[in-house]
Amino acid sequence: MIAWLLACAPASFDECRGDLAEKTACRAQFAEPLPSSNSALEALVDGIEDLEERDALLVELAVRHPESGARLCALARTDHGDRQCRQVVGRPHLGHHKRP
Amino acid sequence: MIWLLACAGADPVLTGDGSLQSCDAIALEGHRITCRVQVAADAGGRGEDALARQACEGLDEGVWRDECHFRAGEELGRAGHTDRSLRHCADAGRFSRNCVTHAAWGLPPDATLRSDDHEAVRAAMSEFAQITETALDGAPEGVAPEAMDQLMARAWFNLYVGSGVADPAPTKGLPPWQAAQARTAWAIEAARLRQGEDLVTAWVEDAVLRGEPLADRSNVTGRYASPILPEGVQDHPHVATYGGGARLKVEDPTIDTRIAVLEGLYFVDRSPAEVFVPYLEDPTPEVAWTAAKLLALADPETPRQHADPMLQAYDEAARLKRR
Repeated sequence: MIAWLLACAPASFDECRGDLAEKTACRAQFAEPLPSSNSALEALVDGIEDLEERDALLVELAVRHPESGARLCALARTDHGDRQCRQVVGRPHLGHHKRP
Repeated sequence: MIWLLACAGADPVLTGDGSLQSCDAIALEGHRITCRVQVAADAGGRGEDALARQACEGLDEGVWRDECHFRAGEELGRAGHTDRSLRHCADAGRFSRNCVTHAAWGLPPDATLRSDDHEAVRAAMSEFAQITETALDGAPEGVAPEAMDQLMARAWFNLYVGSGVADPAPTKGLPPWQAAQARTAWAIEAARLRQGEDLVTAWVEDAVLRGEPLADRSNVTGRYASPILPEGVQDHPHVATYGGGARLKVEDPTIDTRIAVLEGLYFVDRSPAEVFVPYLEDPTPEVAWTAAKLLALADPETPRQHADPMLQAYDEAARLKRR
């Protein structure tokens, strides 16, 4: 059983598999802590070809890290991603919130 | 942990259908959170306080639960449910102040209330003050007094501005903590109705000014004076104005009316900058400082010479703010 579970465990961002939610949750884990440079962040999400998957990750990370919402949401490419992102970047006080 | 989920399979849905149940079916935490916050905001807009509260209380304590109460509070406020709105604001933790500001400025005017109906105004304002005080019970420390200041400022603004009637009588005999807000609101409407008249005399003599009401009072716009507090001025008493602003206030009602009138003239953006110039020499420092602030905001190029260092500081701060 343990071996089966371990076999399922992805070792990197690029190995995340499953449906949209599974892949996004997995990628979010590997994306943290967030790269400090915008170019590194961009390179990370540019590796995701599917735009829906890309934006799902960006939104998930923006909610977890509202202080980085602006740079994450600037990379969103779909209308749906933009709409979801507005709940973070449209609320500037969230960006000023410091994580404990 | 995530690979356990991956192996077990997870719900692929990322957005809900507007119901709490659909939010809870979302596998991703971040998306689940924004779904609940949206449900709370939408419920607030419909006046459904219980659903909004349920949506927020299902979130873990922290920034997003605070944000959820903030969204619900501002939407309930905009829908006219002040008491429920403020109860959410009281629960909005680090965002309590932001929530109150939004709730206050979203408060819709009561079109049936007029400043020349003194009994009705007295009853309405007293009830509003009581409701807000009760609703803010339990707000984080320091929030309630600031909130009351903003809310009463808005309530008086709603009574006067755009109504077509500027009767100063209701601004008299008020408890000191709300008299200044009332005078600012009266002054804006008085300035809107009668530019160029001596409005302070009109206030002293209880002259009721009348004119055309605004067609749409739900969205009154004017020049918003930024809250400018140069060093040395912070300790002087201020009162909330509009859009997060503040003005100086003094105890003497007639002198305070001079300050209110200056602020009113500034808000009514047809007023030329020159109207503030004579007040730079006013014997009451707070009046002169207000004139300097408004003159610098309205037109930093108008020449004047200030010997008073506080006046210079005020003027300089206003210029910096304007840039």
